[in-house]
Amino acid sequence: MTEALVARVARAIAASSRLSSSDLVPRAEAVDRDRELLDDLISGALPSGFVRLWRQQRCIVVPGHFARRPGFEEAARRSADRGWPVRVRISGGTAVAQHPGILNISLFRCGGPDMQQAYSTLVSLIACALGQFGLAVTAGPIVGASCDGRFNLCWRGRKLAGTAAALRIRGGRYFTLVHASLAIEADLAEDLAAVAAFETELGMEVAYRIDAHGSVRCALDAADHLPLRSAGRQANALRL
Amino acid sequence: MTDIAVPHDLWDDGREAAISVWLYADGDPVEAGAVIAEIMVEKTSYELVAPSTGRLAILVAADEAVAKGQVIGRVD
Repeated sequence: MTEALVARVARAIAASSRLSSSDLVPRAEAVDRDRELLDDLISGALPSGFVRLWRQQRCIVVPGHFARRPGFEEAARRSADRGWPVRVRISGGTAVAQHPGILNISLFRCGGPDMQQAYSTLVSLIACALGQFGLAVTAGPIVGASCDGRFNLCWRGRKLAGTAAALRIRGGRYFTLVHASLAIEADLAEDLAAVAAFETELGMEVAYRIDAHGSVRCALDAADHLPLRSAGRQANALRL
Repeated sequence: MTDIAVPHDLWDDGREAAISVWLYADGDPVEAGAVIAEIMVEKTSYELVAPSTGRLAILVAADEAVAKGQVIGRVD
């Protein structure tokens, strides 16, 4: 069931984007491809506006500066022993659980330094796709959510997707990766416990709430989820 | 001697930013164009590159808050 829903959501997002690729076979090293594609964007080998849809094998992904914290190696080793190896990404934020029930959407674009516009473009793209499933989502922070931020995709007060970004300046030009991790179907308690355990062992204070998180599957299973609505109305509702 | 400053246009409001990591230690040799630090604003990671070749002098430590335009280091 997860596979089918992931594929349907991925198709909906791809249909709304001008240029995209789907790499939905979960791989251990999938997160590393974003770094390579951002380099390709900088070199001109990748067109601006490219969207990559991908999945990762089960792990926790963290921003680069986590890997330089004291105690990282030990915390990562313990996490791996619990079945959650740790991998490093290039965008900001904090730790995030990854597994085949999470659909990742990466948008690569050249342009100015306006990150709000970059986030809004990605959020609108995903909101349009979810709108086709009858889900009305909003963007904003959620108190108690892990890796919280202004550009979460939320449904009825629950975080369905988190976003983060990396910006590179080369020769006065700006190159951006903006990325979302959308929970399609997940054991949210298990995901949150894995993240909280790792961050606690890294010396961070965490106070996450399970009811701050949700998934597309949970939203669709809600008996009273809104009927199908147009992607255009979703995009307008999310314009930030 | 060349200043390493936080670019003025990295973010567009008064939000707090912080140096998430220095990739070289104080006094290390660096080459022009090398990525020497990362700055985090909300959940966006920005790379800072060395403006010239020389020895790095760190003026603002990792995890400290920084402002747009602030000089955070020098290459001597």
